[in-house]
Amino acid sequence: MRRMHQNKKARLWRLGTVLCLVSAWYVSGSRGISAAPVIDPAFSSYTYNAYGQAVSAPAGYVPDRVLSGGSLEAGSLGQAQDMASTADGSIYVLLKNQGQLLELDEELGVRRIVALVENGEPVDISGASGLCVTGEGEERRIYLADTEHQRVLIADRTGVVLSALTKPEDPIYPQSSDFRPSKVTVGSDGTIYVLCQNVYKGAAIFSRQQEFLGFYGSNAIDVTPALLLDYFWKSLMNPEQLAQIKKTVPIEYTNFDMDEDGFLYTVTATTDNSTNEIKRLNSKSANIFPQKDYGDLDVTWINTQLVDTAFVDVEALDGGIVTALDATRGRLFMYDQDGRLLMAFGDTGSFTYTFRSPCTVTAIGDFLYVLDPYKDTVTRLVPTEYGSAILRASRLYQNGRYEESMGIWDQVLRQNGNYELAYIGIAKGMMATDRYEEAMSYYRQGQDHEGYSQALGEYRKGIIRVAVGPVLLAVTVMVILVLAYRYFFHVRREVDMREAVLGRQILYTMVHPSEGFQLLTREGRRGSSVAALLGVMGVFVASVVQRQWTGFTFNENQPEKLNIWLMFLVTAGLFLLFVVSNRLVCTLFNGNGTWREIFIVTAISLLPGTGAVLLRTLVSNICTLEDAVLLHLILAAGVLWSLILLLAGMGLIHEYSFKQAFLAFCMTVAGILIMLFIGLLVWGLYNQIIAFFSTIMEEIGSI
Amino acid sequence: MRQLKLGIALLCVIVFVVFPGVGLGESAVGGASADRQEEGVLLPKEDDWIPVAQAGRLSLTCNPATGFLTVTDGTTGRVYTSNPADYMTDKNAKGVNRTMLGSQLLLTVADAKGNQETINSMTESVEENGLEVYQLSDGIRMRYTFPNKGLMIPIEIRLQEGRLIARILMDQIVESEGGPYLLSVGLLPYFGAGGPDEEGYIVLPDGSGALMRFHNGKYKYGVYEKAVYGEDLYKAGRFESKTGYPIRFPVFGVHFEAEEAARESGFLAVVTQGDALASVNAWPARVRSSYTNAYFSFTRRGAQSTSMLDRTWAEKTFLKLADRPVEMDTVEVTYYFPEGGTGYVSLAVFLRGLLEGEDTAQNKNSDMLPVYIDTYISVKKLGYTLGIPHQKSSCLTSFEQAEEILETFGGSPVYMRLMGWDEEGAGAGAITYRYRPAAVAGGAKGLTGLLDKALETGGQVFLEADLAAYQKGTFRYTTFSSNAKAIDNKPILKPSYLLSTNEEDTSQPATYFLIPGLVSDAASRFLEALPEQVTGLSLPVVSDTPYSDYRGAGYDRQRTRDLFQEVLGEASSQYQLYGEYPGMYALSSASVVSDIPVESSGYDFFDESVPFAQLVLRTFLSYSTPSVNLSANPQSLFLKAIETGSSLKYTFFTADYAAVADTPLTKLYGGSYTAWEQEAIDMVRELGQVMEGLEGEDIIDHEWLSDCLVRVVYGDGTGFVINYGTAEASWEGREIPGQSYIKFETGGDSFE
Repeated sequence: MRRMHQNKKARLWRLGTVLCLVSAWYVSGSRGISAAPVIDPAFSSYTYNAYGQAVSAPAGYVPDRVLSGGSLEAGSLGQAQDMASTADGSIYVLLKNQGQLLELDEELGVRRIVALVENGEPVDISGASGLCVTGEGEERRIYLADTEHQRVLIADRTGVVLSALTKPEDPIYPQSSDFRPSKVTVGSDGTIYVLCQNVYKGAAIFSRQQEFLGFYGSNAIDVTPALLLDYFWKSLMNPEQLAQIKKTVPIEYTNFDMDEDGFLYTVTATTDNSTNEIKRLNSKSANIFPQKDYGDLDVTWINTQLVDTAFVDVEALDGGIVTALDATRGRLFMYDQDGRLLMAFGDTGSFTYTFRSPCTVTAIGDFLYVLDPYKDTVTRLVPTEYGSAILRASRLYQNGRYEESMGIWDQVLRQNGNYELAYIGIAKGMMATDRYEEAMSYYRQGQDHEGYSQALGEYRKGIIRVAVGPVLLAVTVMVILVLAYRYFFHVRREVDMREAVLGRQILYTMVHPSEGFQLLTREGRRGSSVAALLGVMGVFVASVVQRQWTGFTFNENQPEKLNIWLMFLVTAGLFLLFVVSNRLVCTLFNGNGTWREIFIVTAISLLPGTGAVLLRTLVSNICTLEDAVLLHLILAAGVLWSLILLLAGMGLIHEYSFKQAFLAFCMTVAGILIMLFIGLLVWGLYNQIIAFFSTIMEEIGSI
Repeated sequence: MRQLKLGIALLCVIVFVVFPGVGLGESAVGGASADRQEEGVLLPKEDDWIPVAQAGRLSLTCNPATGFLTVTDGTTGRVYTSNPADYMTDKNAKGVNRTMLGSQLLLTVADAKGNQETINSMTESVEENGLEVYQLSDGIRMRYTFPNKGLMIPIEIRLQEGRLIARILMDQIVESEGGPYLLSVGLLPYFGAGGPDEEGYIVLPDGSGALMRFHNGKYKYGVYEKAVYGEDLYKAGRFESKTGYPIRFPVFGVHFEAEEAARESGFLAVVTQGDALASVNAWPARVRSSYTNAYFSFTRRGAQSTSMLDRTWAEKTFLKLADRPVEMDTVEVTYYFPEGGTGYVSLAVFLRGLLEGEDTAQNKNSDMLPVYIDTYISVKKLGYTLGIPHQKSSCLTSFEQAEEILETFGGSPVYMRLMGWDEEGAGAGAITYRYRPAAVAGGAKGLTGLLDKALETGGQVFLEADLAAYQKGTFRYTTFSSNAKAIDNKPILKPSYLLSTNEEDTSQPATYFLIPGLVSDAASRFLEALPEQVTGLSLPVVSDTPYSDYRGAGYDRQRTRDLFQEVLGEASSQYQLYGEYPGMYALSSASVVSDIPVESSGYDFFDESVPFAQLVLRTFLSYSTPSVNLSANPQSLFLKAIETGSSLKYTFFTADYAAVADTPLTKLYGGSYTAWEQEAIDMVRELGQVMEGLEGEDIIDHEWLSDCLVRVVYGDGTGFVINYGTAEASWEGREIPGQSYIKFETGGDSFE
C-alpha cells in the first residue's frame, strides 16, 4: 500500500517534470511565433480634430503576439480568406489553399486543424471566402460561405457538415443571378445573414430554420453630379437605347458584423462620394450612423491614382464600439455607437505593428486579431494604457454615466490633450453636476458647439435669474429719466444739416439717404472721402472681429488659423472690384457718377451692414442655438439697410430711377463675376507659363 | 618563375610568423595612411589556401584564385570564412544569389543616365580574371578589376592582435570616363555568416538593439538595410519614409552559440573610418541564401531620385548622380574577436571598452539616479496686441515655474533641458546664434535665476540651440544663401508630413539645414554670446544627423560628421553637453544622453529587442528613456527603465494644453505638468528606491525568458524579472503580476 502511494507520488512528480519540460519547450518554441509586446511604435499615431486635421496622439493599440504562417506545419497560412472568433476564446482561420480551418486559442497557439466532412467525404472549401462561428461546446456551429460552390455550409465543431443553404427559389431573390455567398454572419437569435456577390439588394436573410426571409439593408445609390447628369441623358433616350446602357446600382457591402444589441454594421470599400463607408443598421434597415466621411479624411494621389481608405472588414466590440479595417493603409479605425472616431492605429510597412494588405479583423473582449494573408500573419493587438482608458470612458459615457466617466476622461486627457471627446465627456459630467461655466470651457476645448450652447443656456438662466430684477429696474429708471429730461428741457432743435459736422451728416444719411448723399458728394463736403476710406477699413475690421470673436456657439472658424492679409485682400479687393465694375457698367448706361462719388456712396452705404455684423458678433456671445434667428434678423436688417442706402445713393449720383439703380446694381454684380472669371483665366495661364519655363530651366540645369 | 613567386610568398609568411611584430607599428585605429604605401608581393593565382597573416590567436588565410578568406581563432577553434564553401550548391540561393554568396564585394553602379545596376565581385571580376592578391606585412591587398565596367577597386585586409581590419582604398578606385559610376560598395557581405546548421544571432544597433537569429524562418519580410545616422537628408521626398529608429552606432555583432560556453564565438564589426557613409545590411536566412549575414556598405557617390513635372500626368522620376565622389581616402571596418564571451551583453561591454579607450576621463555618473526633464518655455502662436492679431511669443513655462519644477524634483539630480527658451520659441525658428531669452517667460533675468537655482539644487540646465536646422532665415543665416543644397541643386528641405497620408504638408513650414561650414561659425558666435551662468547645452542635429551638402564645393557626409565632432569637442571644453539619442561620434563629448529607445524598431524579421545601446552606455554615461508622459504605455516604460537601467524622462510645460494647440508642438500631447506632477514624482521616487545602490553597477546578464518575461542581473547580484504582459506569470515558483516585476538577490555564484 505504502509502496503504491510512493509510486503514485513519483508518477505525479514525473508528470510535473514532463509538464515543466513541455511548457519550457513551448516557451522556447514560441520564440518564432510571437514578438515581445511593443511599448510605443517607432512612429507617431494620430487622431482627427473637429476641423478634420490629423493631430498627434499616443498609440491606442499595439501588437503583442504575431502568428507567422512560416511557423506552422503547413509552412504558411495559405492565402487565408477569413477569420472568426467566439466569445469563449477560439479563433478560426479559413486556410484557402489547404482547404481547412485552423483553430487557435486566444494566445494564438494552434489547437487543431478542422477539415470539413460531408457524408463521410472531405469537402472542397478552397472556393470559400466567408466564415462565422457561433456557440460553445456541442452547440458550436461553423458557417462557411462557399462562393464557388454556391452554398453556405453549416457544420458542427468537428467539421461534420449538418446542412447547407443554397439559392432560394423565392421570386424575391433575383433568379437571374447566381447564389455566390461571400460573407456570412449570424444574429443572436439564429438568423443567418449572407452577403452575395452581384446581388445589390443587401444581405440575404435566412431564418433559424434556414428558410429564406428576404433582403436586409441595401446600400442606397449615392447622388453625385455624375449621376444627375446620367439621369438627364437617360431622360432623353428611347427604351432601346436605355436597354443598352449600364444600370446604376447601389454599391455592394464588402463586409458586415452584428453587435450585441442586434444592430448590423456594414462597410463598403469605396463609395462614390467617400462618405458613409460604415453604416449601423437598425431592425428596419435604416442607417443610424451619422452621414459623414469615415476612415481617413485626407486622401493623396500617387501616380494619378487616388489613395483613400478602403474598408474590408468591420467588427463590433462590447459596449457599442466598432472597429473597421482599412486595407489600403493597414489601419484600424475605432468608432463609438454615435459614429465618433475614438482612435486610429496601424499602418503599412515591414514592422510587427504594420500590415501589408490585411483582410479581416476579429475581437475577443478588447483584444483585436488581424489576419493579413499577404504578410502571412495573424497579429494580436492589445489596448495600451491610453487605449484602454478611452474604451472604458467611452463605454461609461455611452451608458449615460457621465459623472463616473469624468475621472477616466481626465486620465485620457493627461496622456493626450488633443483628445476632444474627453473634453466633451468631462463637460457632460459637469453639466450633470450643474457646473455650467466650467462645462462651457470644456465644451469649447472639445469643439462641441451644441453642447456649449446648452451649457451657455443653463449658465445664462442662472445669471438672468439673479440679474433680471436690477436690470429691469435700471432700464425703467433710465427711460423715465430720459423722457423727463426731454419733457422739461425741450431739447428738440432743428439743425441745418449743411452746417453740421461730418459725423452728424453721415448719421443723417443713414435715414435720409438722398439728402445725405447729396450733401456728402455733390456739395463737395470735405473729408467725406476720408470717411469713406475709414468705412472700408471698418468692413475689414468687422470681418476680422466677426471671424475671431463670434460666440463659440456660432463660430466654426479656427481662431488660430487667421490669415489677416488674405482677409484684407478679400474685403478691400471686393470693394474695389465693385467700385470699378459699377463705374464701368454705369458709363454704359449713362450714369453720371464719378469715381469719387461711387467710392463714397458705396463705402458709406456699407455702414449699417458693418454695424449689424459688429452687433451680431457681440450678441452671439450670449445667444444659444435657439436664439439663432435673432442673429439672422440683425444681419438681415443691416444688409437690407445697406442695400437700400446703396440703391438710393446710386440713384442719386447716376441720376437713375430706383428701378434703373437696381438694374445697374445687378449688372455691377455680373461685372464683378466676369472680372473674377477673367482674372482666374489669366492666373491659370500665367501659372502654366511659369511652370513651362521652370521645367525648361530645370531640364537645362540638370544636364 | 611561378615557383619563385611562391617561394617569395612563403618566405614572407615565414618572416611574418617568426616576427609577428613586423608591420604592427601604427596605432590601433587609423593607421591606414602610414601603411597604405606598402607595395606588397603579388600572390600566384592558385586555387589554394595560403596563410597570409598571424597575430596572436588569430590567423588569416586567403585563396588568391577566388578571393576567399578565413580567419581562425586558435582559442575557440572557430573558422570565420568570408564566403560559405558550399556557395554554388546552396539550395536556398538561386541564380545571382549564388555568385553573391561567393563575392567579397557587392557593388551598385549607375550610368550617366541614372540606370542602376547591382553587380558582384565574383561574376564581374574574379570569373573575368580580374582579381590580384598582394601579400603585405600583416595581411593582403586585393585589387578587383571589373573589365566590363572599367572599374578597379583595391581593398586591404590586415590582421592585428584580436582584430581583422578591412579597408576600401576609396581614393585609389578607378572609374572609366563616362561611367558606369560606382555608387556604393558592400564589403565582405558573407563574412562570419550564420549557417543553416548553426545556432546564433546577429546583433543590430536598431533602436535599443535587436537580435536576428540564424534561420529564424522570417524570410518573407525582406532584408534590413539602413544608413548609419539616418538616411542622408537630401533624400527626403514627398512621402515620409517610415524606417523606425535611426542607427546611431555604426556596429553589428555576430554570435555563434555552442554547447559549452568556452567555445562560444563571434565578433563585433565596427566602422572605424567612414561611419557617416556606412549602411548596415542584414539578410535573414532563406531570403537570398541559407545563411544569415550582416555587412556594411559604403556610399562612394551620392545619387538622388528626382522628379520632373511633379503631380502631373507626365511626372517622370530619374536618378541624378552627384558630379563627384566622396572625399574619404579610406573606409575601414574592424572586426573585433573578443575573448570571454560574445553574447550581446559581452559585445556591448566590449564596445564600451573601445569607446572608453578613446576618452579615459569617463564615468560621468553621479551616485543617484537622475531624472531628465524637457521643459518647453515658449512658442510662437497667434496672439493679440491691442486687439490686433499677429504671431507672437507665448509663454508655456516661465523660468520661475521651471525653477519650481527643479525644486519639486530636487530629491534627485535633475537634468533639465530648456526648449524654446529664446525669442524664437520652440518648434520653428531661426538659427540660435544669439542669447535672447524669451521675454514672455521672464527674460535674461529669469533665465539667470533658473541657472542659479540649478547650481543651488545640484541640477543641471541645458539650453537647446539649433545650430543646423532652421525654418526661418535671418539676416546672417538666410534660407537662400546659407542653406545646404541637394544634388539637384535645390535646397535640402525636410518637410512636415501629414500624419494620416505621410505626404508632405505644405501648409506647415519646412526645415532648412545650414551649410556645414556655417554651423561652426554659428556655434562660435553662440558660445561667445553666452553669459557665464550657462553651463550646459544641447545641440540637436549636430550631435546626431550629419548631412551632405552639394552647394558649390560641398561637404560629403563624413566631412560634415568630422566638422560636427569638432564643434562638439570645442563646445564640450567649456560646457556640459546633452545628447538626445546621439551618434556614436558625439558620445565622447557628451555628458548626459537622453531618449535612448527602450525597444528596437520592431522589424518583422527581428526576434528580440535587447538593450544593446544601454549596455554600451552603462557606467559610461548617464542615459534616459524616451519621455514617459508621451508614451502610450507609461507603466511599461517604467518597467523598461528597470530592465535597461535608464533614468526616467519627462516633457513638460505648465501652461494649459490650449497653449500648444495649433502650434508645431501638438506632438506634446501629454506634456501638461499639472496633470503629471504627482504621478511623475511617485514614479521617480519608486524607481529611485528600486534602483538604489545600482547606479554604478554594470548589467552582467540579460535574457528573455519568454515573449513577455525578461530577466536582468546587475553587477552586485541584484536581479529583476519583469513581466510586460497583462496576465500574471510565474518564474521559479514566484508569481509576477501583469505589468510588474520582482527583485531577487543572487549569490555571487549564480551567473555561470
